[in-house]
Amino acid sequence: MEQTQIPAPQAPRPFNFPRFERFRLPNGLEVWYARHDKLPLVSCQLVIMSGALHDPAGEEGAATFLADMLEEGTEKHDAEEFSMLLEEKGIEFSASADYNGSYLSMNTLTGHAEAALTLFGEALTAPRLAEKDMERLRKIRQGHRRRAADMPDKIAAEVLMRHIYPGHRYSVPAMGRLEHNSSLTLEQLRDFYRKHYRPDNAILVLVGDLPAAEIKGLLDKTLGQWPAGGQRFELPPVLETPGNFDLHLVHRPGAQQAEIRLGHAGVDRHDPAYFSALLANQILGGYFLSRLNMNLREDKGLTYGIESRFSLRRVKGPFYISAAVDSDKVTLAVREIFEELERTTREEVSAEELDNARGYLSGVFPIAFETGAQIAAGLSNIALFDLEDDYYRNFRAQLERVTVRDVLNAARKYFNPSRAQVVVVADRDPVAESLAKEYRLHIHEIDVA
Amino acid sequence: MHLNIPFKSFHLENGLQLLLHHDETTPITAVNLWYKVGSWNEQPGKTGYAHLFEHMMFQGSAHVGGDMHFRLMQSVGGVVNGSTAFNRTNYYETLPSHHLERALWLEADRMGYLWQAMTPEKLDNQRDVVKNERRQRVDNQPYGLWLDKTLEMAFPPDYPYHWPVIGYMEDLDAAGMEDIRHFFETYYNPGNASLCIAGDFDEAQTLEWVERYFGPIPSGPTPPPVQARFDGYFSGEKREVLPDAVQLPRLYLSYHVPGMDSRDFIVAQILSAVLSGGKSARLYNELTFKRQLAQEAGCFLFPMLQTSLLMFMVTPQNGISVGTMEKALQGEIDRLSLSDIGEQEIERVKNQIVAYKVRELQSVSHIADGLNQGAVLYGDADYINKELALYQAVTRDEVVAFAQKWLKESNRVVLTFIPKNE
Repeated sequence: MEQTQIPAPQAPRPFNFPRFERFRLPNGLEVWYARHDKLPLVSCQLVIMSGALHDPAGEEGAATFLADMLEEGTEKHDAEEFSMLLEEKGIEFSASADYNGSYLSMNTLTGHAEAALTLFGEALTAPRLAEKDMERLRKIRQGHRRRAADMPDKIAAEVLMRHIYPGHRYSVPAMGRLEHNSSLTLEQLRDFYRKHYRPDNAILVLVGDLPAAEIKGLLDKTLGQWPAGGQRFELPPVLETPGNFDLHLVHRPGAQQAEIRLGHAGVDRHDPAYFSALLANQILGGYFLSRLNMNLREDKGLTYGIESRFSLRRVKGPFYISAAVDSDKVTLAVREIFEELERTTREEVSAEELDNARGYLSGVFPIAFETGAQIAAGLSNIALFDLEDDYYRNFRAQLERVTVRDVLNAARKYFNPSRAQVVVVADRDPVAESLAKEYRLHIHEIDVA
Repeated sequence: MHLNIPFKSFHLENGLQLLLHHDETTPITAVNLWYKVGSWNEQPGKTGYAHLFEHMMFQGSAHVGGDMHFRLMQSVGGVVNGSTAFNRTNYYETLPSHHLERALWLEADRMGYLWQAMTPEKLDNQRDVVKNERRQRVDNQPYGLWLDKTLEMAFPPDYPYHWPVIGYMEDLDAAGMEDIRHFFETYYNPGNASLCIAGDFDEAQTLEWVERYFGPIPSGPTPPPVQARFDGYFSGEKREVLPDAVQLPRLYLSYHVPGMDSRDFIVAQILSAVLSGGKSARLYNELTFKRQLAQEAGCFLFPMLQTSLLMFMVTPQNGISVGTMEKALQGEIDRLSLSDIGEQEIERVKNQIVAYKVRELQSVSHIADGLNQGAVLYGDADYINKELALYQAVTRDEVVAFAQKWLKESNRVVLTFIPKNE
């Protein structure tokens, strides 16, 4: 019977990440453009190569606060009018920042490309930056900070970063804490803008259904007036991370589950062993078939989902594992997580596990770059991380080279159970006694505003 | 603007509907399968079973070992999931196009031969997973009970929208093998399903595969219709106050409105976008921007087929009382009925919808899901091509008339969360 046979694949059709064109505007702004003509859309992202890592000390949150302010109108149009001009044409526009950089993003139907790029250009080169808008946003940002204490996943993530990166910018959320959001001034945001928002510190990525010549004309008109100049800035290195395992229990009265985060410093994206580390993580906790998920979810039913990841940042970001588990089985969960983590550093993965992980990352590749916005995000990554132009075009070939021995070596180098910091956010009563039998506990109250 | 998403429609002899949309821009294919079953088909005391059953569909079938479904899909780059709603359950995968036959084989195996592979151990495991899903999404989240409470207040206990799709803990505990078998035999039949394949494929070859793998599955019984009818419109306001471990209070106001397949539902979507579609929309503009009362303010339609809810969600800023917040929100709701909605507001919303719909077409998995949504919920796969015209035809007067008719105090439930320590 035919149903008993797993069907064989057909011949694959070739696919690769698109080639893109680079050119500069007369003011020096570098533009990367890829044609994508399936639908009449244009996606555009301006990457400023400075973000929360460049917040001056004591002014944590400046980069993200400034980005919020860039949605609040231009010299020509106040915040209300600016939103109206975008939304009446169905244009999506947003500004944001993270540790790595700051971003202005826009997506529009090609029919409105000129209007959209005009508003985009104004927001970038002539933002309004008005005091009353800042005071209005300040209240919203203070609200976000206060409410972080409500959310178990947020508490766990923030407390973990404090313990992995004491003293480094990473120990404070990209948006800063309540106190920073209360004290930042408009002058400080303006300083950040004047220093960092310059053509030589930026790359513009554009993907869509317009001929290159037309794009160039539009950009000259809309971004050409941005004064030339600027520079790239150094990034603050991570000097030291903790050498010893520690477990922190954050008491959340009445919690119905235990939120676990554990981790330590991660991998540099330019490390020659990066692709081996990526596959090691995939096998450990990177997808549904991973060891952590198959063990804690599909075998033991301890959680709805568990994952591990390298958070990729321009200054080496963390490696971490996250899961929300049954409170009364939290000790079992932590033990199993460590067992899986240690096993990857002890013995080689099977050839089948490596084939599956590689098969997933290679196979999902065309799905990950189906839309113009996805391709734009890929180009932004190349820009931000200073990767080779052909990074994505060579991605699958890089995966092919990795052996089970490479995976073991990468796991030994990049997974360090004995240095892991563990955070559990749970009601103390059902978890403390059981955890204390196996680990020395530091118990904390919630303090994340 | 007019959308034209070409597709072909077929029916197998056993009743399975098949929809094909060809687009070879990227060498990927989306396989999307909707079954006409959801929490709507459950009984009080047996809630959450449609969703629990969805989990069991990933645990192997007669010719597919316990974890082989995920293994065979993910090892070639397939992106796989399923979801359960009130009136349907869907299963979908997008994968490199040269593995399409594998996906069809897997979907057919669990449609035709799931029960043979079911064990009490698998059920116990997924029951634990689903209970943790409920804890993670509902019980351990701030304001997490908003939907449970709103549905319980809005609908009578024996009416199937009374309970949440994920179900109640005690019902999940009580689910047994017979319940799983009942779901499989009653609802998981070709005549109760619609299969859509979108993306890169060879049509003749694909038709042959579908016939080969799905064709032999017996058509099975016709599922019994659910007899429930909702008639609780305008039956008096219901209010509840719930203390929770939160920093800020929050209000949920939910109005009864007609179901997803009604003309009114289209008008309601225009109305909700006037209120909530961006920073120019009224709730943000008035309550957050101008008056600076709301930390966040939004409005959305909760999509249910027979009857639906138009929900407002507002969180006051620190220091603003929930009473002040509710009064300001009520002012915005009352304004709608005073017919001060402008033509330019309606135009803006329509333009936003056009751009949004075009963005959705970028992905073949969206198109596959959209075709099936039309086929299963509206009995018309071509709905995806007609929808935009429906929005564009809505007039300002219709929106005002909708607000006047439905947004009455007697037609709503109000749930207020307050911080526990207050």
